[in-house]
Amino acid sequence: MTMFSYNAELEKMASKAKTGENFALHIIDWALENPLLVSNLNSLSIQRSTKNQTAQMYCADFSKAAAFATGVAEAQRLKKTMRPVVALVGDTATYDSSPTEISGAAQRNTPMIYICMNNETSVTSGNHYSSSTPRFTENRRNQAETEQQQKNLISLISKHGVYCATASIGFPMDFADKLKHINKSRKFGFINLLIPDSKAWGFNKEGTIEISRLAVETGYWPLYEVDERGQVRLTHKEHYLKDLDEFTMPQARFAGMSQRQRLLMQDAVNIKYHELLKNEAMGK
Amino acid sequence: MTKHTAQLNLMNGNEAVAGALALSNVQYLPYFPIEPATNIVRALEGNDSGIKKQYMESTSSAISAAAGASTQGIRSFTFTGAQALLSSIQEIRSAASLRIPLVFANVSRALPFPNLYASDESEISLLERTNTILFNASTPQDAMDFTILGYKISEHKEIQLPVCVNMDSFLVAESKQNLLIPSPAMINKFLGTKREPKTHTTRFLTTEEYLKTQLGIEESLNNINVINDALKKYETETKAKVSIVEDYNAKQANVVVVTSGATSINAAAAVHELQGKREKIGHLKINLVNPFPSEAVKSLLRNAEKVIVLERGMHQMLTGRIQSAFYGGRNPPDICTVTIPPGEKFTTRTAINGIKKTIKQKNARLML
Repeated sequence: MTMFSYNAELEKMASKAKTGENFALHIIDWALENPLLVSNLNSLSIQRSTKNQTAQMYCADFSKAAAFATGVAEAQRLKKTMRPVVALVGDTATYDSSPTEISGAAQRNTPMIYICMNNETSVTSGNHYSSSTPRFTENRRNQAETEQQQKNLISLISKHGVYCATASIGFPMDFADKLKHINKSRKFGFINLLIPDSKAWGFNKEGTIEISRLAVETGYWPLYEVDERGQVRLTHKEHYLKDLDEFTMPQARFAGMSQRQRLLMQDAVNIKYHELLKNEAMGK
Repeated sequence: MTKHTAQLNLMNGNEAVAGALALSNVQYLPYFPIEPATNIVRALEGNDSGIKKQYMESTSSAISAAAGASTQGIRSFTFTGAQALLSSIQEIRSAASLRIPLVFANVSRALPFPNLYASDESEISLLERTNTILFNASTPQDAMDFTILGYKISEHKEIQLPVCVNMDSFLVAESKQNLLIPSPAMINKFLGTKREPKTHTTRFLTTEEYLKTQLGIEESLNNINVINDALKKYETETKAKVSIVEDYNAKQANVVVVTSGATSINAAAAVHELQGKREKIGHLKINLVNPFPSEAVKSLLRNAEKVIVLERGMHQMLTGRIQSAFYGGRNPPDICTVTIPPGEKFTTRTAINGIKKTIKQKNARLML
């Protein structure tokens, strides 16, 4: 893997990591000092990725990772130890089952980092769609759910006046910076982390990092942050967005898309990216 | 002199639990309001115990947060009741499966639907399958003692399971009694400081590992010796009287009335009144409902020919357990049940009527 030739440490981590989730855990270990991890029972891909991890991961119920992490974080406050608390939850649990719990933790401003390990599908239930799955993918088409839009979770959570950001494992330095920023502020922070799943998305496992970079470079997954005052800032800007086909073509999940659907998707990506640029310029 | 003296104080069940929390050095109380259990939080207002109270978004989240803090070696507490208990069954069972020590109170009420604000203790039979150790308090004094004991038991290395203290929402949680309160020094000595527990990890397990884990939980749950030891130590430290089953002339009696929780006071009074007329009648109060103390119950009922179980609520909690305790034995007693419907007034007089009616019939199933 030559993706991170600029940083020997990252290169080593990427070569050691077995899956995207595993690489994300390595980055968290690298960016934060002695973190306390809280996961949930049903996020299968996260649990698989922790097999060779030495750090103990506490376990909560499907939708209760934010509530469990609240208890862990409050205990840190009472013990006067400053270990960072990180909740690692899959996208199905985050998008569909946990908004109440995330909203509670955000409103209380509990010092914790909530990371949505987003592979845009529900691996546990055998690649079933969730509300984070994009339109026109195979698992959506089969279940006749093509008309529903993805949830915009960042805009939902940022309305609580907390720090929210997107990240991708293809840009580990950006992800690490965001982790460090939240940890330094000692407040609640939410990161939506894109982790391509080779099996569910249908591409070669070796291309995991490349696909996650292409997601950013085509504008499909723009890297941005929304601070406590609602100010949007793009943390990685592309002067010219690559064609969306470069991201969708290598993936089997988009194989059955019609030409019309391709154009619709490209349009949606362009609109979203320009809206972000506009909001950044207007200071919104 | 203050070291081993106890104070007397007029308190209801909720206030007694709040007092127990302050004595046990509880540091964290996540909660979601459910009446009348919220009075535990109100009772702590203005108290300088330094407990961090945190409003959560649901009772199930409160259970999760309390479990989370407990994994870090912080003593935490929360409460449930009626619908709130139904919605947090999953979280309670998970805490048990991960071997997280946790103490919570359940202030029981009739379950919906339709909504009824009335006495009913049968909802705690739901906790039977969640691997929770369950005490049923019949007085505010019991509620205080069992809450303190809950920390001792749930933090024990061989147990590490959730402990629930159940109170009837009207007859215990909101009724006042003169309480004997142990001094903080006694409880400090009794409980000691909490250590970070060794909880289970999230890793997926093989079938053999899963079975081993579940059998380990089963073994810990049925470890009544640890519970009895804790009770004995509490008695010697505080000079209070606590036990898993309390009897009133049950050993010699032919007819024994068995109750648990809030019905016990009136049932005991009824038995006392009937004793002059029928000499061999006794009363047995079961404080520890899960794990069911079968051996203790069996030995106390050894001379009984008839056992009358007074059950509050629509789901029978004790009858089946007493029947299975006698299963396969020689000459089992005739076990009858009197159901007291939720909200039905239960006085000494109604208890006497129920007992009298049942004594005449064999294998009776009555409703008051």
